[in-house]
Amino acid sequence: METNNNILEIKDLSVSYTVANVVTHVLEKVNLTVPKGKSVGLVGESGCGKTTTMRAILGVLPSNANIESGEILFNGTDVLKMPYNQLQEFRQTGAGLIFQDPSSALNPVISIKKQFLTSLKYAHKDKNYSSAQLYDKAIEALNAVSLADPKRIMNSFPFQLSGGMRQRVCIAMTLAGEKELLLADEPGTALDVTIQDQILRLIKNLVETLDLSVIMVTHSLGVIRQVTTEVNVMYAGSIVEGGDTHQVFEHPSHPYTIALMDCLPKLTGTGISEGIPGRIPDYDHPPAGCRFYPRCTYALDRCKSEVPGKTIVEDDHWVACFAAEEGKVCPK
Amino acid sequence: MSEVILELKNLKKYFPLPGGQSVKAVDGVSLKLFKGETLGLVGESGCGKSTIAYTVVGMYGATEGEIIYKGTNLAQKGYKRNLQQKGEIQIVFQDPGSSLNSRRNVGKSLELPLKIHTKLNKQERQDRIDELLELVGLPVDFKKRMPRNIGGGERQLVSVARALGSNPEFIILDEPTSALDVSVQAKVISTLIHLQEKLGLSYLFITHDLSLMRNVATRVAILYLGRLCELAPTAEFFHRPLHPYTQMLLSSIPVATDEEEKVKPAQIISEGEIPSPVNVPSGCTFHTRCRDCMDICKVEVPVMIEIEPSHYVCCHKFKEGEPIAAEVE
Repeated sequence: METNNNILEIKDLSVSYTVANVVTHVLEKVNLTVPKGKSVGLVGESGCGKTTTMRAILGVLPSNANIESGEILFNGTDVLKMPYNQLQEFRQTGAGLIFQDPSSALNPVISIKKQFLTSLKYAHKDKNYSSAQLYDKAIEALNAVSLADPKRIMNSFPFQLSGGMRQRVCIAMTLAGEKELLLADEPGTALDVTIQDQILRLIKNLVETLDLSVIMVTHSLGVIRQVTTEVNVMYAGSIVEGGDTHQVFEHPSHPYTIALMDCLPKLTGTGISEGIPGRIPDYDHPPAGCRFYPRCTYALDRCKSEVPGKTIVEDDHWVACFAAEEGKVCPK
Repeated sequence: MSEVILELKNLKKYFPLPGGQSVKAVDGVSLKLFKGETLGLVGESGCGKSTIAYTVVGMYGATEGEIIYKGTNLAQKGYKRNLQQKGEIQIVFQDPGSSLNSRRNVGKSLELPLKIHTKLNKQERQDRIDELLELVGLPVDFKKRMPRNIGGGERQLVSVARALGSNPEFIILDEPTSALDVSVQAKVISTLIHLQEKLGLSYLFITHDLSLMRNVATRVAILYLGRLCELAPTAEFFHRPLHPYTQMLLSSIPVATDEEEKVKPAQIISEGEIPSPVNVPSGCTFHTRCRDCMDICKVEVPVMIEIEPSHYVCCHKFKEGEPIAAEVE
C-alpha cells in the first residue's frame, strides 16, 4: 500500500486526558489507514476511545487532552502540526463530520438555507462562486441524498424536518462541500431501524459512485458489516483486530472480537450468551500488557506484561494477541 | 393455553393538543398476556410502545378500552388500584441513570418498595435487600454504593431488584437494555431470563430490537402508529413474517453474520418516514409506505384476523379462512 493512495493515515497516536491532576491514558498507539474511495469502520463499545480518535482527526479535542505521540497524515500533511489557519482550512474543505444526533448538529433557529450556504461559502472559498451557484450546488446535493422537494427543505428550519431528513441534510452539506473525507460518528444510532437502513444505503451508495472516503464509527457490528470494506476493532483505546471486513467477520481471531460477536443477539435465535465478565479497565492505571488481559479467557502469562504486536491471520486480516499468535484461540 | 394474566381490550390513549386535535399514541390495541411468557412489543419510535407500558402500570389513565388484570378492569372510570395490584405490576425503565435516585445509595433505593409493600421490620428488610441483590447476581456490599459509582448494567440490575421488592407477578420492561453495550446487555438479559424461570414472572418486553426478541420472547407483537400489525409466536413470526411492515422491519436490521442474512426476508428497500401520530393516514396507517398498497387500504381500516392458529395479522392482503398466497411463504 503506497502512501499516496491513503487519504488518511494515523500512526502510533496516543492521547491522554488530565482530569483533576490524574492522567488517564486513553488512546494507546492507534494505527489506522483510510485508502481513497473506501469506507473504513471503527467499532468498539462505549468508552473505548472511538470519539477521541474522531476528535483528534479534526483537531477538536477538549483542552485537557494531551497528544503524547503519533501523527495524523491527511494527504501526507500532519494534522497535528498544522498551524491554526491551515487547520481551519482542513476542517472547511478537507473533512466533513456527521454526528450521531442530527437534531443537535444543526442550529434549530437558523434556516437550512442559511446554514447550508454558510458552510458552502467556506468549503468553496477559493473558487469565487456566486451565491446563486452555491444555491444550485446545495439543491444538487439535496437531490443526491434523495430528499424530495429540496427547495422547500432549503426554506425550512431544522425542527420542521424529521430525524432522517436532518441526517440527510448533514450528509448533503458534506457532499456539496466536495469534501474528500467523511467522518460518520454513529450516523444511524439515533434513528429508527428503517430510517437507519435508508441512511446507511445512501452512504454506501455515495462511496461507490462518488469515490468518497468514509470513516464509520459505531458500536454496531451489523452496521459495520453492511457499510464498510475494512474494519478496525477497538478495545480500551487500542485497536486489537483489523482488516478486510468480510474476513474479520468470517474468522474473528481476537478473544474480544469473538466474545463481542457472541454477545450479539442473533436473528437465527441461538440464545443469549452470558456477556463478557468484568468491565473496561480504568484508564488511569491501564494493564501494562494487553489491555484485554483481565477479561480474557485465553490469557497467557506474557499477556500481563507485554503488549502484543500484529499477527497476520489471513492475507488482509491481522490481530494483536499472543494467544492467537500461538494458535490457541479457537472460535466456535 | 395457560392462564391469561393481563388482557388489553381496544385500549386507546389520546393526548389532547391545543386546538382540538390530539396525538393518537395508542389507538385500539387488544392483546393477551399469558402467565410465565415474555411478550415482545416491538415498534419504531413514536409508535406508542411506552405509552402502552405507562397506561398499564397506571401512570397514564386510558382514554378508552379495558385493561383486565386477573379479572378486574383497571381502566374503568374512577377506579383506584389497591396496594396489592400496584405491587404485582412493576416496571423497569430504559435509563437506569435517571430512574434511580442519584442521592440515595442502592440499599435505600431497594428498601423503599419493601417499606410500602411488605410488613417486614428493619432487620428483615436488610436481609431481604441482601437476598434481592443475590437474586440479580450482584454482590451484597453494593447496597452501600451510590448509583454513580456502579456501571450501567449493574445499575439496571439494581432497578430490576427494586422491581422485585414488591413480589410482582408481572413486570413491564421498557427498553431495559437499549442504553447498554452489547456485552453488558447479554448479562442483564440472561439474568432476566433466569429470574423468570425461578420466580414464574410474566414479562411485557418493550423494545425496538427484533434480534433481541428472537432470543428472548415467547410471542412478538409489532406496533405501528398506535395499532398492532402482527402478533405471532416467535419462531413462526421470524420464519414467516406476513405483514408488509414486519417484512420491511426485518429486512432493515443490520446483521453481523451470513447465516442471519439468509434468515432475513428478501431485500425490501425501506421507504418513507413514519407519519405524525396527529394526522394519522386514513385506512391502514401503513399504506403510505407499503409496497403492496391497494385501493381498499387507503379507505378502510383492516381488522386483526387469526390467519394461522395464534398468528394474527392486520392487513387487507389476508382474508380469514383463505390460504396464504404462495408468494409470501
